[in-house]
Amino acid sequence: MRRILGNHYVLYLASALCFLAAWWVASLVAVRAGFSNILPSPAVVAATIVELGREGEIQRHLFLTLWRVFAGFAIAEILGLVIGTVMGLNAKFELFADGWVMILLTIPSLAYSIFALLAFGLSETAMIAAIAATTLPYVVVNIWSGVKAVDRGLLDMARAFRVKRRNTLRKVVLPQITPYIFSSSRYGIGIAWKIAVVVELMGASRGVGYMLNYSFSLFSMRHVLAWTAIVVVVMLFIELVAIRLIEERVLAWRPKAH
Amino acid sequence: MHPIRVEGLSLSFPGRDGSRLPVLDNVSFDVGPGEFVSLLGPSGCGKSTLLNIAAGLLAPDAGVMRIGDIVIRAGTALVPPRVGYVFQSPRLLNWLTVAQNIELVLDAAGTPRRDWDGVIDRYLSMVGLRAFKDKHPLELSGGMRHRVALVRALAIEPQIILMDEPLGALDAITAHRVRDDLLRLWQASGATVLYVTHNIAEAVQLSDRVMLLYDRPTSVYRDVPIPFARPRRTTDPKLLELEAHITEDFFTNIIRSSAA
Repeated sequence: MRRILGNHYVLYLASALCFLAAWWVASLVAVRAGFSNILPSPAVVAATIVELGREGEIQRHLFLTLWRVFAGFAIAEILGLVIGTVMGLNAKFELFADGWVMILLTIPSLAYSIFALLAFGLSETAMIAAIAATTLPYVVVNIWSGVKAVDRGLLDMARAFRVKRRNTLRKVVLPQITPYIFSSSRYGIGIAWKIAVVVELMGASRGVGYMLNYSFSLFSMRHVLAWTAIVVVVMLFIELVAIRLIEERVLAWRPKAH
Repeated sequence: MHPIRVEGLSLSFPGRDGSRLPVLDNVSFDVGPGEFVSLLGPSGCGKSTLLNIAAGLLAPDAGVMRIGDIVIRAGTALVPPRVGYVFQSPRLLNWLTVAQNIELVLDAAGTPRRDWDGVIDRYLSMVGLRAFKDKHPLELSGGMRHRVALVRALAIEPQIILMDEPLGALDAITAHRVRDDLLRLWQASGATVLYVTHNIAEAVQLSDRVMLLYDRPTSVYRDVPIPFARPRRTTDPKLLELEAHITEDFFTNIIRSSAA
């Protein structure tokens, strides 16, 4: 725990327990007031998750959604890395692309989903395209600002010592934008999840978004909460464990924050 | 043959209203082999611009700078000469170890890979940092980082070293110690040094010659030899007397005339 959450892990755990307690109290109040279906208790939701797992529903839907999220996110991250880097290095391209990025950021993610489903039909391609398109401008902005923040003094140093271009990129520029690659990944995966659920709700017959919609049509709050909780737990795992551990290793030279 | 020869160097930058803002005006001077020459002028004047031209980062509008075997003049492609450079801040790469920071420039300078360990150990030992070669810069004190930056400039064994106020950001006591290291490294190397500073005492203590520079635009006012043998004592009365004389001259003829 300490390794993953840092020295303040007690605070993290306390905050999670407070959340569960507040949820539990609220559900008791709801039951007292005669609305037992509106807010099932954490225990009921947990039991529902176990039940979904036993029936194989989680495996059937979660992995498909995860695959869509990662495929869409990977496309956005790679394109965003290239576009953001060129924008940061080239003033003309920056002016040219600036307006595009603003427009892409403004388009509602629902509109991307509709465009993609109309263009590609109810297909995997459409869903992945919608996820990638929504995520891309956020990644671009992040990487772009990272490249803009590269220390000119270090570039001058490399030039004065006649360091070759390849080494300058690898050893001077890349380490400086690495933190931005991580923050854009973290941010990008979050966005990709949100849009994945929306696009599945509209165009999929499997996936977490589809199951949320299905639970909605059954008016089953405990299923809606169960699926939401599954998404939150998986996201927290990716954010807190996977990305943070990689980041800690790659950016080991930075002084510790705690 | 002078390692550094500057002849009629002029440069102006475009001003805000479209006019030209002169930065360097017909600057000429020479630096002989193994000589330590300081450029002394008010801060914010064109001293750093002069070093940027020498490092091949910037071209002049007119005049010539010969540095080593490279000739820099208006319109020629910018090629950095083979020099060591010490900046005001250490400009180390914080994600590399001390040794890796030095290896980066050894690689660029073409030092054979089998010599790297020996060179790094030798130079780090000279400033008492051999035990720190596998540390990252952020684990070192400010003064130690400045020493590593000195070692980086000397490790490529250059004929010429350019220094841009390398002690300017340090407190007086740390600056004193780094200055001793700097002198020791330079004397062992025999390199020619062009040293930019706005600190009169520092220039007098370190240099063979001090060039007093006018401000805005920068041009040479006076070339003062410092004819004292090394090692010099900071408190040597003759040195202090010369320092007082230069200070007097500096404030009377450079600061006051530019304020008028």
